[in-house]
Amino acid sequence: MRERLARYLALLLVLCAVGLSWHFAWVHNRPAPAPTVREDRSEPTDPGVIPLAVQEQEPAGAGIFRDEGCMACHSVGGVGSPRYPLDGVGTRYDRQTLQEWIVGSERVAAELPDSAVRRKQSYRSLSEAELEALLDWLAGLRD
Amino acid sequence: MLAKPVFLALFWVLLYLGLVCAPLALLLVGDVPRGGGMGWDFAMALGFAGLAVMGLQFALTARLRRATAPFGIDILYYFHRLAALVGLALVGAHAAIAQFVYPDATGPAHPLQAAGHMSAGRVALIVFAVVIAASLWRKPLGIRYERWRMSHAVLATLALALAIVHVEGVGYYTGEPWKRTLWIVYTLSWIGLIGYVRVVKPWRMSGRPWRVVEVRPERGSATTLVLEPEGHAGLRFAPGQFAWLTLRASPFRFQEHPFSFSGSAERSGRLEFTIKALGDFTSEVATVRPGDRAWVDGPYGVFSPDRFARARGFVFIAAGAGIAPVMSMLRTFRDRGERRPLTLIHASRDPDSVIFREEIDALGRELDLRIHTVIEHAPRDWTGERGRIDAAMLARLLPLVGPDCGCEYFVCGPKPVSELVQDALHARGVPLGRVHFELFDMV
Repeated sequence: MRERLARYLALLLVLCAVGLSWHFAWVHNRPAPAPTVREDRSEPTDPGVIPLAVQEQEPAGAGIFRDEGCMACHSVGGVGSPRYPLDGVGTRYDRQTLQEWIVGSERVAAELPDSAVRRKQSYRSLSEAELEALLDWLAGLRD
Repeated sequence: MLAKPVFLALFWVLLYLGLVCAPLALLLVGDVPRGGGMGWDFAMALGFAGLAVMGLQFALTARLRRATAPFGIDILYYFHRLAALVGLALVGAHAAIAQFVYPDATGPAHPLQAAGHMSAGRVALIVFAVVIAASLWRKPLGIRYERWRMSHAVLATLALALAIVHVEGVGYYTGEPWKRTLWIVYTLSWIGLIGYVRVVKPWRMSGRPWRVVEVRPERGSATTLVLEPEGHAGLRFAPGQFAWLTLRASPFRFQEHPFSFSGSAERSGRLEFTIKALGDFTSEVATVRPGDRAWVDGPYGVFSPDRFARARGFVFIAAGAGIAPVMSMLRTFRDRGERRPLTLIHASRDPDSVIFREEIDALGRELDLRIHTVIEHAPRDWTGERGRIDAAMLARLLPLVGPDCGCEYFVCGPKPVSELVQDALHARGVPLGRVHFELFDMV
């Protein structure tokens, strides 16, 4: 009797956890006026975006993007975390702004959570050449 | 003392579900950060839910007496087991979706290349799985109870700590300062609970020592220990309840084992525990000497006739050492001058190992008690019941069941016996809510 009730409660626990998780995801992803959210994560046909996987020879910037773990938060062409897609970022920002976003300058820090700022500021240790290569590649991501 | 408070039970159940949902619900208040797609945020939410379930596992086994009272602590341990599987499934789904659907976002799996907090999360998942596997299959894996208990506490705490590090390292949803503060308070409450269980509770127990005043050998290689409080008022229990007993070790070392009280609840000043030697820790009980120190954490449990003041009678079915709590009930009834009809079905291996044989016979003269002694290996001249308890025997010994009897049934013995009796009585129309038993031996 009590065992049966305990099993029902466990089932209720699963339903609560999964249901609330789904609701949580929905609240974070409901269609908002924010224009920056891209719903389309399919393989882009846009020639401006060069998917990492299909390039004959990978640009240096793409390699740095991957090796520095940028994909924990960002995606390009649907590869990486879907949270902050960088497709077309080269159209939206100039080189100077891109650099500020990479290293978490004072100006962009105000818009970011602390953990993201800390992580971004760790990229200040990138060499000049690495940063240039990364900027080259990001600036080339055009809509 | 042992009423059946349905509303209280409901309150604790809702509080539990509320605490599981609290972190996700709180993270939804106010501005939420930008979503990463349904799949991604769903996976992250499952992680939070799973972690909340795992954190509350410490509350389920903290033996908070008030919270366990409406349910019986045995069922909390049973639920603890189920909830562990639910928690592991949630955390596992969280990791699996992130790893397989978004492999680039989770980064390299190799601990030397991965970010520290990602490795912490992965290790936490593995440790949770190991802790659960060791609990489900302790006996087949040959892990000693004492060693299992210690490692269970240490590894579960470690896994929870690693999981908190993981969430802290990601720090995405908890970005806003006030959400961060609430999250920290929430996780600290788990740590506080562990501190309460491991430090505060043993410390309080150590201030309330008991002394063994008598060690009495019983039939059936059982031993009765009689304990008296040393410098404090002792405790009051209801017949059928049990306590965790620590012998010859500090309460901080967690070398405790649960045993039913076997003495009368009307004489709570002296506690009696009757323990049958079964080859493990119980075999050392016979070597305890009067004067030894002991510590008692109790009383716990809802396996008691005191919850059923309106029952028309009681039926007790005990096998082997399962007679201990039933003996407490019978002795209590004798001290109270109980007049309701009672039936005892008492199974033992052979006539010489019938624990409390003489005293039960004497109780039969003082109470309205019908006694059926069932002997598995009965000698030729045995006139009572023979063999093992089965449905046919129950039908013969208990002609009146269900509404005709109006009885409450208390079953205490090895799991197969307990299950057989439940099924047999249920098949004859006894509602499951009238058949009571204590769940034990779960790991």
